[in-house]
Formats: sequence, C-alpha cells, structure tokens
Amino acid sequence: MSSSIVRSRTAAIQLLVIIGAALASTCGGRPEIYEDPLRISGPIVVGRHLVYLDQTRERAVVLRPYEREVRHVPLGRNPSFMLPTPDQSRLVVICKGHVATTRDEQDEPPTMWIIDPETGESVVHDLGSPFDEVAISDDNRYAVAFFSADAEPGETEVFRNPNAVAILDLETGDLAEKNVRSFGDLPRGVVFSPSIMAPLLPDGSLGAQRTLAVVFADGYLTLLDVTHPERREVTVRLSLPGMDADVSPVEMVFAPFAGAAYLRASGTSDVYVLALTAREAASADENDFVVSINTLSAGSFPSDVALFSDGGQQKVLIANQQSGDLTVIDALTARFVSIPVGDPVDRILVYPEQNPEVAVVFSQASPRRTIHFLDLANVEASRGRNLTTLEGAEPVVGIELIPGRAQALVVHDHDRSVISVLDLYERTLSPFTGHQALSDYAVTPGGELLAGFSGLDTRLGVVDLTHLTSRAVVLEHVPSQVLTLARDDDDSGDAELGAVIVVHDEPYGLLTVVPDPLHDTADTTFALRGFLIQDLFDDRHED
Amino acid sequence: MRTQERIVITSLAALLALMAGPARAEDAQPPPDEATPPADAATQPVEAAEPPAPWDAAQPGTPPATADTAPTGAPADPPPVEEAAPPVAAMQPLMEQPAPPPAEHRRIDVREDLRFAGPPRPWHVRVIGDVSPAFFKDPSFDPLASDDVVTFGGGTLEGEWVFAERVPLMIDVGYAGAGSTEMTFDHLTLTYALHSLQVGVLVGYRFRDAVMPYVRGGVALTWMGVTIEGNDDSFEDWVFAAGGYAMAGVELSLARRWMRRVFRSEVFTAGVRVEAGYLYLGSFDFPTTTDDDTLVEHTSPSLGAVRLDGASMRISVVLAF
Repeated sequence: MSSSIVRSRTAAIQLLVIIGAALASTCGGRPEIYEDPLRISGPIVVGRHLVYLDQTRERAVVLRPYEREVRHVPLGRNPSFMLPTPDQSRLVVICKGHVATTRDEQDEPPTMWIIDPETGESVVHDLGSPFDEVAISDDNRYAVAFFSADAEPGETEVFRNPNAVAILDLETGDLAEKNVRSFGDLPRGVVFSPSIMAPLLPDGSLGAQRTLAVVFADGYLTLLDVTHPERREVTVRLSLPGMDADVSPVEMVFAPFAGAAYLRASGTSDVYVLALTAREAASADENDFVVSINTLSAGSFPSDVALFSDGGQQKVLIANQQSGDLTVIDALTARFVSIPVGDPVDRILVYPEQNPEVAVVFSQASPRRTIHFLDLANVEASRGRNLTTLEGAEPVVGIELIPGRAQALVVHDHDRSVISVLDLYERTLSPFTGHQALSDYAVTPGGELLAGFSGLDTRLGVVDLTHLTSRAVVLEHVPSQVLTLARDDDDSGDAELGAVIVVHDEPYGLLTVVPDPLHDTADTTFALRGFLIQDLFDDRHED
Repeated sequence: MRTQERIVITSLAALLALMAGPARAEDAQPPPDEATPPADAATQPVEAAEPPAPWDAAQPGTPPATADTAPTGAPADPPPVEEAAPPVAAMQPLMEQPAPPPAEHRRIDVREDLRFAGPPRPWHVRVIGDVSPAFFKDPSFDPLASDDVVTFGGGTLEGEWVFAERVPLMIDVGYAGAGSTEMTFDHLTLTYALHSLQVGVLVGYRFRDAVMPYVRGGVALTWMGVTIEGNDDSFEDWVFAAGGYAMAGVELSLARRWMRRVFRSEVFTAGVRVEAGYLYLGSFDFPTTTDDDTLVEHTSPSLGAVRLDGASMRISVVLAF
C-alpha cells in the first residue's frame, strides 16, 4: 500500500470523524419543559381582565378580551396561588421559590407578587416560607399569607411550620413574618375585620381603629393586629382544655361600632361573642386591647349569621337550623330576641348589602318551597310581624343576590334545571325552565343579564333581567365556563352593559367574547384562540 | 492493490447501473452459449473487441486534437469505438497479462472508463431525487420537534452547461418538503409543514468522468405551516420566508464512456451525490391572524417567529440526460 494512499485514507477518515462529530453536536433534544403537561389554573376575573396562572412556564397570562390584548407577566419559580384584591385592581400571586438541585442553579426564595393587570407591572416581596394561600383585607390594604390545612408540603420542603404567617402592607410594602401560637392544628382560613375595628374604652367610646386578621383553626382562633404587625397575636381557645367538643370556627361577623365580633362555629349550639376592650400597652409589642369571649345561647345550632344596623345600633341576625327560628342580637348589649320561622332555616342573605333593609332566609340543607323575608327595621319590637313568606312551586336549594339590582337568582334543584328570578321588593318569583341542567351561569357586574349553558349544548342562554326576556346565542364550541366582565366606559355601545365571556376547554386557550348579548350578536361576537401559547416560538427555556 | 480498487470500482459501477435501470435489450450481451467453443471467446475478448478510443488511451485525460474537439474546445462525441483501431500501446498491458479469463467472466477495465472523456455535448438535463437531513438548533424550533433533525425529501431539475473543459455550471430548480407532528406540553398536538422552492447554481470540477466535486448555492423560498390541535378545535397558519443555502459535495456517476460502451447510451448517465453545508430557510414570523370563515370571527395572537437554519446534508440520486 503506497504512502499516498495511506495518507488519503487517513485524511478521509479524519474528515468523516469531523463531520460526524459536527453533526452529532447539532443533534439534541429539546428542553424537558416541552414534555411536561401544561398546568394552567384559572381564569379568574380581575377587574376588566381575565387572568390565567401558567404554572408550567411560570407566568401570568393577562387578557383584555375587548381589546384582544394578551400580556404575559413573568413570575417567580413555582407559582401556586393567585387572588385578586377585593377592589379588583391588583392580583396577588404566591410563588413557592426553588431549591437548587445542580451547581449551576441558584436558590430562589418564596415570593409574593403584586401585579397591576393594567400595566403588567409587578412588585415582588420575598417571603420566609413557601406559603400556600393569601387573604386580603376588604380595604385592599393588607395581605396575610399562610399555610393551608388542605395543602400538602411541596417537594422542596423538608420541614414546614404551618403556623407561620406573613403580613404585608400593600401600600407601604412592609412585610412582617409572625409565628402564631399553635395548639397543634393548622390554619383553615383567614378573615379580616373592617379597617374601622376598634376596642371599647371604659367610657363606652371607641379606641383607635385598626384592621384585625383572624386566623381560623380547629378549636381556636388567633387575632392579629395587622395595623401593628409588631404586636403579639392573641389566641383564643373555643373550648376548655380537656373538653371533648370538636369546635371549629366557621363564620365571623364584625360589629366595629360595638367593639365586638360574633363567631359561628361548628360543633356547638352557641354563638361566640368576642369583645375587644382597650387597655394601656406596656410595650411596643404589646396589644392595646384585650379580648374577652362569651357564648350566647340564642338558639339551637346557628347555621348562618349576618350583621345589620337598626336605628344606629348594630345587630346580629342568626339563623338557627335546629330550632327553626331567627335570633336578633344587640351587638352592644348582647340582648337578643327570637323570631320563630317554622322551617329549618340555615341561610341568610341581607339586602342591600351595604345598609341592609331586608333579610332573605331559606333552608338550603333541607330544601323547602318557602322563602322568608324579614324586614329589619325595628325588628326587635315588631318581631314576627316583620316576617313574610313566599311559597314557590319548587323547592329552593340556593339563592344568589344579583348585584346592583333588587333581584335574586333562585335555584330550585341541584341540577339547576329550573331557576327563578326573585323580585326582592315585590317578592315574586319568575321561573325559567331549561331543557337541561344548567352547567354554569353568571350575572353581569351591573346585574343586567344572566348567561348560562347546559351540558354539551353549544348555545348560550341569556336572560334580560330587566324585562325578563330570554334569547339564545349560538356558539361555535362547547362551553366549559361562563364569566362576566365589567365593560370599559369608553367602549362603544351601552356603557352600562356588561359582557359575557365563554370559556372553552382548549389547552391553548379559547374564549368566545359576547360584548352585547342582548342584541345582535353575529357581528359583535368574536373568539380569541391560542392566547395561552402566544409567542410560543419566542419562548426560551433551559433544561 | 489494483485488484481491490478494481473490485470496489466495479461494484460501484454495478450498483449505479442497477439504479439507472436495465440496459436496452439490444445492448445486453447474450449469455455464453455452451455450443460456442470457449476458444472462440478466448480469442475474442470483449476488451479486444471494444478498445478505448485511441486519443484517450494514448494520453489519458487529454482529448485528441481532432476537428471535433480541439479547435473550439467544445466537447464532442469521440469517434465510435467500433471504428477505432486499437493502438499497440493500449494493447500492450493486456498482452502481458496471463491468459484471458473464460468468456463467461466478462471483464471491464473500469479505470479506463472513469478517465475523463468529456461530455458528449455541452449541455445536459438532470433529474434529481434527494433526501436531506437538516439540523435546526434554534430554540424557536423546540416547540415543534423533540429533536433538531428535519428530514427533507424533494426533487430537483437541473440544467448543465459545460462552459469549460472540466467545469460544468448547473442551474437548478428544486422542491424540498418536510413535516412532522409532535406532542408538546403533553396535550398539544403541533404539526408543521415546510414547502421550499429552491433555485441555485452549482459549479463542479470533473476531474474524472465519474467523479465531480462541486459547490452549490442558492436561494430558498419557503412556506411554513403550523397546525395546532387541542381537544376539539384546531387552527393553522402559513407564513413565508426567504433564505439560502451553501453546500459542497461530490457527485459519483456512471462514466459516460462506460455507459456508451455498455448501454450504447450517448448522453444518459446516473449517479449519486453527497453534499453538506449550511441551510438557512428564514425566520418565519407567525403574526396575529383573524379567521372570518367561521361562525364567529376568530382571532389568534402571534405565535412568534421560528428561525430555521443549521447544518444540512443531502444525499441525491441523479439521472442525467
């Protein structure tokens, strides 16, 4: 074999090796994220926006349906929970962070993201623990992050302190982490008092106003003065040590002008009264109030509780399921009167919600055909004379107030095949029957219309709640959820009219927007498709 | 060593002959007749009956200075081999070899056939079928494919013009298509299709009649379609992008001289090409779209841009006329 041939062969082999190596270097798989399921929760309504939480790609997808705008807001690692503020102006997202598993990764702490859906701007606060949930005060000022009793610890957690909470002032951005005293159980939820909650002074006047956060747990509750997060929490046991009673807080109403809160709890036939009395704080971390707790035997097994004001006095209305009566309690004096109803009532709706004048009472657990109306003016003196009854043709399993109107939606069976519109002034029922059970429905924020659908039907039923007329809107896809949005004032058409958003079950995102459901829909209705994968090809992911 | 080379080259030639199809019936050699005395066959070997052209044997690689080729430089058909007398110099090596093989072992001197002989005419037409894997590494391609390899299939029509003695210039118009379906995010079915019209120029150097290295480049006009399927609904979009390519490779073909001698084909030959290089199909920007053909208007937001570029190979089968 000549040397030239040997050289040629060697060169050829080297060339093949180089080409092979080059091609091999170009071969490769894509990042693992594309093989993972797309975990998306939502949508939820935040003002005029719809928000999806994309947990796989760690971002919030904010839609402005009318404008057909889609915005992606990047989030921290492992977003797990989102909640709009009560005024619908911001979105709060909890991200659980990340623990590095390789040397080229970095740890990321748990974070709370405050997002403005209008601009997409976000403010991030580091948290000390990967909390599960967050609750926000009604005045949109405070957020409390806590571990949920229902949530399992995350994969990156070795230990967790379930009684840790974080209090965030959404205006100042101040964050305080606390560890509430525990009696061995987990928080089940957090409720906030009005921001005008104040303890009673010895002279009967009210002390400084503040917002209280009350952490519910089985057998006890904890009061946090979130206006002064540096102060100690107050823990209240609902049963004495050694008692077998399994008492869990369920519902609390606050009577700020009486310095009191009323608690309905399961496992007891009493109502708990928590009275806040002012005192001198010994130090900066001491509270300036003390809490005294009493039980009020004002009926048998209270099932619902509501607060109203009568003649400037705050009063508490309690529905007693077992004794079949209503109890009216003076919040300041704890005196009460009972009003027999005759049905095992367990639900109370007060109307109007701001200054209630009428209470609508019915039995949800044991459906009856009767709906009871209690006029709240001078109710203690009038007692049963203020109570009137409406008997319908069908049992009542649910009543939902229609916002902004003197109407309520009455559901007559668990399949929701028959619904009625209840006129709260005339106290009449207008039934609507459907061909099938109602799968989902929604009422526009202004209360102009109700929209719902049944099963796999591709029609959307629309009820004009003003004239009580109905029509159908034909859709192109099977709906899975119906939502309503407030409409922009500068949108064309009737500014008071809300719009209906029909959600379809497609992994890439599919919505039908019906801007004007009560009128011609053929020209105005449109669908948004694929918004969950917008900019799919521009995304950059790493293994 | 010569025997090994001969075996390899003969095998290659036989393979290409198979790919080119069977020879014409009148060209086929009859099987050796048992009634024919072996001695007749031995005294009239094939090589002796069809010797190479005298100009080629006398000075390999240089065309004879005949009226057909020399003055103008334009290639022309060499004189028919049947009419040429075998020169002594060409016969000498054969005479030095041992006794010729029996008639049933028809021996072909492939080396002679592979020598550059010049094309029979200055232009040719080629029909090419090819398979070309391309390696797209850009992250924008990740949602569409679980690996980076896209295999194109296609065909090319190529016009060849020999503007210098050994340097053909070819202009080609071809089509290449590819497509695939991938499950992304576990429950999204993404299908893409690529249709590419490619116009290019090839310049080769035929240093042997059967071996031609070349470089090739051109533009690629490509339409890309993406279909996304969900649970009960799907949508698709098509976009266009322009790009280009630059490749280098080698064409191995049946020597025309051999084809003429064996199949009596004046211009036809066949071969394979192997090439590699860089392919840039373009950046495919999927914009916001509105579909009015449905019951209600559907608006789909932009999916972003897919950039398709990377190393590419092409393996082709060439039929030249």
